[in-house]
Amino acid sequence: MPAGLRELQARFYRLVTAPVDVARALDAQGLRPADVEAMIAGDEHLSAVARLDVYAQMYFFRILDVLRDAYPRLLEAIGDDAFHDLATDYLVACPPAHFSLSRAGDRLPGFLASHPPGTPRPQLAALARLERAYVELFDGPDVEALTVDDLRALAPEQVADQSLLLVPCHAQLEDVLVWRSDVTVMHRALAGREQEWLRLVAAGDCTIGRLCEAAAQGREVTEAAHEVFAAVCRWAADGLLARPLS
Amino acid sequence: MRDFPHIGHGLGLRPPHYREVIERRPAVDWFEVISENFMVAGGNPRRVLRAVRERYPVVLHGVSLSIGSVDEVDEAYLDSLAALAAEIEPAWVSDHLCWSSLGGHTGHDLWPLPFTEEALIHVADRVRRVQDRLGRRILIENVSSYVQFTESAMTEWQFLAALTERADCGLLLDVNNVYVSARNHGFFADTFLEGIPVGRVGQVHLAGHSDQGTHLLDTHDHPVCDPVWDLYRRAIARFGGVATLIERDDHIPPLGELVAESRRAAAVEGEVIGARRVA
Repeated sequence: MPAGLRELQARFYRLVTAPVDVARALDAQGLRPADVEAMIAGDEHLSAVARLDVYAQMYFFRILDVLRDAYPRLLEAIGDDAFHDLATDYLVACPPAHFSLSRAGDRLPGFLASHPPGTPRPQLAALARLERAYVELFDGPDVEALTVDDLRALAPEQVADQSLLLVPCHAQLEDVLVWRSDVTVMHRALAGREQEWLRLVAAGDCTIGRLCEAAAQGREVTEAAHEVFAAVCRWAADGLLARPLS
Repeated sequence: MRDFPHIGHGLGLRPPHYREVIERRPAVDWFEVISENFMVAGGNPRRVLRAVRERYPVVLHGVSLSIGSVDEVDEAYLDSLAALAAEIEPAWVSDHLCWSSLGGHTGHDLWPLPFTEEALIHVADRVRRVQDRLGRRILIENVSSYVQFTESAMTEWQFLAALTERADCGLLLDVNNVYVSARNHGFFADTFLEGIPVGRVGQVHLAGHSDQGTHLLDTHDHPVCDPVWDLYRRAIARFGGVATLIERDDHIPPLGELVAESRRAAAVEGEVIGARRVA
């Protein structure tokens, strides 16, 4: 193990990723400028501390830019200053762990749910979850979609046995559905019993027939089937259903 | 270099230009993509990459390999990179001489290394492991830097020359980074070029930077400046014709402006090589 390199990287990392500039990080970590000067050469243009601070600034502002791009409505809702403070606290609690910069904000909705300004305003965490879903679904797996024409082509005796699978790029956030159709991510509110039916489909091993039985609940099955088939056709038109593997 | 043929003069593929590149097929010899942006399951990025690859040679250029980190090599990252390379069949794969992760966390930056024997052994071993995993030699790029470590026992060019020998890898020579680091640290850029073995340079990067007064910052948000073009001219005189790429990551102009910069690189190379033949 390269012990000297390990020590250097640990010190560099602690100072560059601190939530304050390097001069204040030194104070907070019980270090002096001389400790940086022992590691980094300064000159008449830039001190060792100022040179290291170039990296500290780039670390924070590069990730801040990504968070601003990923959460534009949250930014609009709380304003620049509060967003800046939120990003500062978030990076201390949840430093990026994924190799892709676009994933740096993965844990922001969860963090916001238990930290200001999210704690007094739970709708902010819900908004962040919605925006997070857009980022996550954007480059998720591709599958072939089940189309309305596929459904129309079913023989009457095949309808009940038709498997229902949701595309992998979907998320049900309480009463909001987010999904990707082809390459476009979209969302809409869930109406009526659609929320419950989608949970049944998402649970797996679901067919149109089973969904009709669950939807009937004492009613005439034919009446329930009419509602279910209309919902299934809408899901297919939305690009929410995957074509089952034959 | 055999593994890194001269495939001409390319551009970095960036989202504002996706549609134009696919639909209008501009006169660009090849495109370089940021590997991590396409190490995803699907969606528009993968669709775009497949469409571009059907029309042009593509090079995978990574920013998160973190070849100099003391963390273990990220096997999941390598698996994902290897899978992308198997699908896209890039002309080659490259990343940077830097570290960007520690303790399982990543800074998403290209942090510099001390130029010590210890670091050299460490990085060379990891480059070999990556090459074994990918089943191909890779290019390692010199980065712009703003610090020099007091414990460095050799120059950056000595480190790079030794690394390419020990790991048997190639060098992606970023001429702008040489210029930026030379200005920031007070060395002669030409001394850097003279220290790089002629047979190891597989690709060149050209980009713009910004002047912060006290230092230059590698921002990729300007056209290539005249001193960097001059240095490129001297690099071609030393290394010969090498596949060359124009990088732009911010303040991205219309594609035509970047194509013109790419053609300028081709013209510079033609002039230098032509003059050498006459001489």
